[in-house]
Amino acid sequence: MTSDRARQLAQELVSRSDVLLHETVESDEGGSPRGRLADGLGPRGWLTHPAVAVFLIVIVVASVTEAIIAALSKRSPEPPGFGLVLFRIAVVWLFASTPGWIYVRYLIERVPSLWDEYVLNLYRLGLDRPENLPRPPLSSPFFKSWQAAGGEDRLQDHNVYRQKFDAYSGVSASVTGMDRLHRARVETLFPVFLLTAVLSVYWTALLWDVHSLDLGSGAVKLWTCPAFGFLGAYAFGVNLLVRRFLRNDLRPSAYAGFALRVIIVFLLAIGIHPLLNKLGADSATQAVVMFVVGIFPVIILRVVQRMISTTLRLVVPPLSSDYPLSNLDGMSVWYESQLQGEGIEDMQGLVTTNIVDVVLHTRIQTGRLIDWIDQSILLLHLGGSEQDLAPKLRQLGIRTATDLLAVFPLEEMESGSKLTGSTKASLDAVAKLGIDATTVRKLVRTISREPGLGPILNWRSGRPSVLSTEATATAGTPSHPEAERHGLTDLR
Amino acid sequence: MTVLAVSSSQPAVDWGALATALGAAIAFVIGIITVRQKSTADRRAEWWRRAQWAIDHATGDRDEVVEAGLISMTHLIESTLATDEDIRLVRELARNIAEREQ
Repeated sequence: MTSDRARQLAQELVSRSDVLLHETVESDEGGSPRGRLADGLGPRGWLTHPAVAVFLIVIVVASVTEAIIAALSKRSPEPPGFGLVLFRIAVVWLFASTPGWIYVRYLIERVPSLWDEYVLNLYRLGLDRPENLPRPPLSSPFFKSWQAAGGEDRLQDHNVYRQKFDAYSGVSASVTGMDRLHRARVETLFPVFLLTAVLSVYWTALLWDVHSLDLGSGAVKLWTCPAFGFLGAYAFGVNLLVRRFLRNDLRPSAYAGFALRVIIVFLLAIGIHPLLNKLGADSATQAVVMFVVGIFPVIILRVVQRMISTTLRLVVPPLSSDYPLSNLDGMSVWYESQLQGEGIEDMQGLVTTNIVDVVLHTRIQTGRLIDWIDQSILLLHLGGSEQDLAPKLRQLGIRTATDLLAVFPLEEMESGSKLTGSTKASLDAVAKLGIDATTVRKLVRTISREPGLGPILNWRSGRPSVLSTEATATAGTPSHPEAERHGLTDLR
Repeated sequence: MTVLAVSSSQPAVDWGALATALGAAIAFVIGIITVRQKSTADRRAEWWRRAQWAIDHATGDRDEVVEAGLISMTHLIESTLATDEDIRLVRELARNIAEREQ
């Protein structure tokens, strides 16, 4: 005899077991069954975060070993002393392992929330049917619609949104789900291991001959320049990693950049040292110069590049867009360069871009990105008259395409005779600013047919997907309360 | 002034010190791995003890006891200590309970 409650609990347990077993099959690309129990290596090609930490420790130990041997064999340039050796080992350990440790913390603390945020954004944007999207968090309002749409039956299928996230981050937060052991690809982790090895060797070499940092002892040594250049590069690099950690944008490419910076600064130091000697710079000046070079090698390169491009512009005409991103509210040089890095050079590129890729790759807040697309749609449709019409519309509080549709609903503008009091008042207001009703009507009609408007309306309404199965099954075409409010029924 | 004198008769490499340092490094790594394995084995043994308790309850006669066992199992299978085999076992058990006659 079993109670209804017990049967329900048992059924839920069966469902949850199925989900967990599906997750473990998905996470194993080879398809062979694997244990959920952490063995450190996990499925082939993936490392769990404790395994990553152990590898980092091994790298630091290996680097320090040589210096310990030198100290024990009395071949160190410093007088022997056990306390001093221990102090140096501790410093090397701390400074060399800190960047790698930041990445391990990122794997544990940030990646799961990034995955949840990414999945929730996908649902809120309504970019696909719920069953095609990854499983949303249990506590989210999208979970029931995903379950009702048969999402659980498709858990075993390869999911393009999950693949995008894994490929971008190199981390398997998406497949581990409830698993607390976050995994990262071995090849993705290579820059982290490389940087730890480079830093271990550099710090060991630097601290085992502290005379190179003594600026008051006679002639300038060759080792002084690389040493101070390294200190500058290290200070900047660690600061950058911490900032990216806080911005949830810490990728292994940042580690590759850090390692490259250390190598470039080393080579620059070797090249600059004879030049500074020739100029008669003393050791203190050389140290300061190299510390600055260590911090700004890339900026110095960019200055040179800009100088060259400015010179070339006199010969080659610039290819500037009529709709530059800089015309959008809230756009800064930093964001513009991030979007340009994704191949988005003007408003047209922004409106037609793949939002999922931009959200993933730039880590720009989705709300901000949606607002820019919304503004771009309006400005693009204003065309050559943008300079005249945009400021006038703004006087009425119309800044974006959805603002325009909110003030002038399509349904009312199409019928003409059914204008409500507020719409009529708004038309009178724009008429006073020199914009006639026909222009507004044409504008509303063309903007309402803009395919990129669907995700914007979804986002602004904050409701589940416009492509919910119920809607598509009953109406044949997607429908949405927000879209219907604007008189839009065929967004795609 | 301190003068650091190194005897010319001293060998270029002190092989004894080198072996000691290498041995210490290897022992350190092995020690970490051993401690981790021991810790995992202990936690897994404790997990299995709790799972046995939950299974015993879930297969009991009284409704309240069965429900407590099922709820416990639902929490236990979320642990990273549960292997695929464990989850399959729990699933079959739960399926059996769900299909029992009322």
